[in-house]
Amino acid sequence: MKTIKNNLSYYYWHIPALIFFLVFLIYPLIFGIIISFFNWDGLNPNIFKNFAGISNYIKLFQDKLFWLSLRNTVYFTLGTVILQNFLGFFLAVFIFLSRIKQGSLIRSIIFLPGILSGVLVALIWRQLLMDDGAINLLLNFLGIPTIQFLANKYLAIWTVTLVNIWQFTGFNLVILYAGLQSINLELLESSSLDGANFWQNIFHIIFPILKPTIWLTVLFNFIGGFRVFDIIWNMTKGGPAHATEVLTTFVYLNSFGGVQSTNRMGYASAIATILMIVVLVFTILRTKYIRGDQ
Amino acid sequence: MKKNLTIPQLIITRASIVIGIIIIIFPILAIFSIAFRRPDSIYQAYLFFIPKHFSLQNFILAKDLFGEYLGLSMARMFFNSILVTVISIAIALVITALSSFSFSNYMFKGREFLFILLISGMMIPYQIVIIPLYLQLNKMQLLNSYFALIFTYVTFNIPIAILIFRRFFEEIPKELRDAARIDGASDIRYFLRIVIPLSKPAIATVIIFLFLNFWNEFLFARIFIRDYELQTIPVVISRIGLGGTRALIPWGTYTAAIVIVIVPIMIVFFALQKWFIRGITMGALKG
Amino acid sequence: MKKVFLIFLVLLFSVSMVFAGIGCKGQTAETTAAETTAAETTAAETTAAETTAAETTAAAESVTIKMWDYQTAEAWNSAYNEIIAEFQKTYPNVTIERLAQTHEGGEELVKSSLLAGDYPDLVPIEPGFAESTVEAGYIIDLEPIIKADPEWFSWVEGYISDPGIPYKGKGIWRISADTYHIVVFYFKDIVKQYGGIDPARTITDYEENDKLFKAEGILTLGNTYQGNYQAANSFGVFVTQQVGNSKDAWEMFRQAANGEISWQNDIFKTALEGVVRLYALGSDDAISLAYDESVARLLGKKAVYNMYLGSWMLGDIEKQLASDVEAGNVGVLLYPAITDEIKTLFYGGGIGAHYSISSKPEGYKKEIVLKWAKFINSPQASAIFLKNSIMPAGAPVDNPGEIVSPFFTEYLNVVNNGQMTPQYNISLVNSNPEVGDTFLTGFAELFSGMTIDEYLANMDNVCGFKG
Repeated sequence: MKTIKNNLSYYYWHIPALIFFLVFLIYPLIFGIIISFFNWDGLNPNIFKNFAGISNYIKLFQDKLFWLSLRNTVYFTLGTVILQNFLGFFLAVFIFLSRIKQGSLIRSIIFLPGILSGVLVALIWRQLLMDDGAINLLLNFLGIPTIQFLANKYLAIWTVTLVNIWQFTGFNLVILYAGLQSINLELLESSSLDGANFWQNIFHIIFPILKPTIWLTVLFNFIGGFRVFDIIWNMTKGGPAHATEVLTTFVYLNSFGGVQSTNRMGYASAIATILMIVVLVFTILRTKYIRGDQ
Repeated sequence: MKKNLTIPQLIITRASIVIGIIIIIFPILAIFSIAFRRPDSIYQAYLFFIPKHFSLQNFILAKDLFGEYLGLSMARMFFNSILVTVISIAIALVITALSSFSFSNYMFKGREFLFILLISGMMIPYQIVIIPLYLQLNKMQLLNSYFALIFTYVTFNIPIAILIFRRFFEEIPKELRDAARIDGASDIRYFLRIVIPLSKPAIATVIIFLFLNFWNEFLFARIFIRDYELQTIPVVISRIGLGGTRALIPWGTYTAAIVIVIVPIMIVFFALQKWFIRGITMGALKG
Repeated sequence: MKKVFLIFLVLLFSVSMVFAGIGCKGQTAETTAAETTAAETTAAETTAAETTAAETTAAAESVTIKMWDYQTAEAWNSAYNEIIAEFQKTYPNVTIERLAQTHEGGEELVKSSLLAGDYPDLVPIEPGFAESTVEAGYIIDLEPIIKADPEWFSWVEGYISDPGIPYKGKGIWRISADTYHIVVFYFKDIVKQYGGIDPARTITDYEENDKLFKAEGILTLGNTYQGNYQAANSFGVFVTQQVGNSKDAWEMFRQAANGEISWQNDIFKTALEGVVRLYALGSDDAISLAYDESVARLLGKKAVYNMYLGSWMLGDIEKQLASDVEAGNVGVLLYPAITDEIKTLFYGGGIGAHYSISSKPEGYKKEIVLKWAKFINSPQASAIFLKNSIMPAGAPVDNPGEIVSPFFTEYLNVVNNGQMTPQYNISLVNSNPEVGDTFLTGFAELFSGMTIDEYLANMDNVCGFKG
């Protein structure tokens, strides 16, 4: 009898968190998914007037803009994952190996943009990247003609990606640096004495040790990349001409609408559901892969 | 170790670090520089950064934006952000610590299932819940109030907080609990008197993660709060920037507004940088 | 101990829910007034002298009217401040709160407010979601009310044939404060300084001038292309120029949008060539500018010619470019002729700031809201609009010449030399979101490398034109 009583009380601890979770996350989530099976214009109080079955999903797969948004999201995410880890890794290693005294200050400085709101970062960079902004001023000074960072439809998505990298490389740096702490310095020393040079040390000793940590940052970067909204929306609103449209801004466009468009809330929900599934699938795959690794 | 680095290697590493720092700092310096220039000579500077005519005019203009035009005072804007952030953090700490304690201390049916359920909340993109939440909050009459944000923020950060707390609690040696039990203390007392005081690092970590998420959150804050008086910092700043209430605000003015908003958080950050860095590291590595 | 703790937690949660009331600005409290007989009958009671009508209503409790629009220009604030003050002379118990936002932020706000059921009494409903709004029952049809009030009807008669007014061809679903025209504002002094052609009449003239300006590093055309309505407007104007009248031009658009005729015809092609030629005279970042930024180019005298701005800007131009206006440096042009042969110039235009009336107010409040809506089109309001260089849509004013500023007069002279054509872009977006989206975003593609033939072929595709 005593064990049963104890069992119940174990659950009590979760009640407050569960209440919040159920009321403000699970319930809206299910509701949101259900909406994707209806054609709702986003304004009518009667949401479930027009049942749409899976037609929203079919429409989605035929929508050029959806694929464009997906492509942009992939560009953005891949760019972020690759560059942030590359830069983060080398910066961490360099700081670690060169034994700079102000190492922690340097890490803090590089981390600084990460504490700013996406809105601020977007507005700051938008100003700097305009035709008459500081970046182009600098380029012109160096004899390089003005570059339309945000207006050129091929460049825009990469510009936005780079800004994101600017903001969050410090995050990768900090985590990777912490991972470096577990490296045995003597191992490095002895390896050097054995004739290994600087780069070999990095690639054959440091990199393998950091691999699990890198997987972690990759996961964070990936989820963050797919969920990005603030920074893109405030810089370009997905424009020009959908050049920086990513899945999240695309959902937003279809729900609250672009200028003067009709609401396609059900459709937006379908897109959001797909987005969620993609992230879920990747996370599960990655977790399985890591478990397998270990 | 220095002697293990040859000169070229030293150059590469040091140079990379310096370049990295320059790239990071450049925009921030640029913004500060612009903010301190006189509005009519906003494009003029020595060496790109030093204002030709130093002036605080922009800050006065920015300050004037608050009040009638923006619909709230600067103090009110900070107050809104602080209030929402602090209350959300408080509530989140309590409910996630409780939940994590049970995860780390007990074995019960469905434990891992419940854990994964709660953690998976991290992967939900906001866009899928925002409209249903909007409708729900509307029905609950919470729209346009601080609670719309507080409840939402708490809920969506339960996963990360539980992740951090659970890992940390699991590190606490079981002997402590056994000792407490022997002394006749209930688990709640054990939790309050022993676990919590021991968990200061974890609490600090969670506070830092949550603080960053709450202070800077934009999407929900924009959609759920319409009254100007209740808006948080990111929303007000985005109104000053583009798509504002009226035609364009001069560059200098809103750069000054950005500076006004950045400075407090930079001060907090540098003062507590050790905690920030440690917190992020701990949270991530243990997670 | 556990039980106490549990109860404590539940209490904590309940208490927070209770606090839901704090800081919550929920639904606007409707002041339900005792229904007076005057309120029950139609607005036929509210003929001319508002003063007598006010005296007959029994309830004089305070009413707050909320109105939103997209007129962010400063001149509109001063106009409305005065109009509101005028209205309050008759109805001192009424407070009118107006909120102006740019389209970018404002549309979302309108939509989310409708959804929450917490929207203003006078609300701007864009054509794109008019259907949803009407069907959801959020706004009312003013036709029976206006038709029963001859005075009101006479004030709006001039504009209720605008395509934006009815819903599905019927009713009066919005009122408008102003009529707008889309023109080109330019700086005569700069043109003169470099010996350019003034006034520039054809696109070729613009291109000639551009050669001069480019050499000096001056921006010829400064305007926004974000959203691409300006390109769409240019397109519409150039088509109408070739067709010769707006009715037939509109018919051509309608047929093309329905796939009845092909987009790949010479008229459309020439029009698009004109659009592309104009775009080439602008800045390379035009495509990413926001409306505010383009206005800044005009008000900051950063570009010589500024398109897709119009009558709603006049007041602000007069104020913020006061010295230039006074010196006669600011000129007005209609959109350029696409070829020398074009004799009649057209300008995009129609009803401007518009308001639909919410279905929520009842009784006395509803009566006042309607009175206010009517007052916006009254001669008194028209006079105040004119004073602020805004072209009123409502009742005409005796002796406008005495009120209107010289700059506004000059503006009207230029405009009256052309003919108005309603903006087709809006109608296209209305008819079919996919068509509209391809049409609009297509312009951005055009400016980034897509050829005109490709664009037109695309449109044929989307509109379902079968060979």
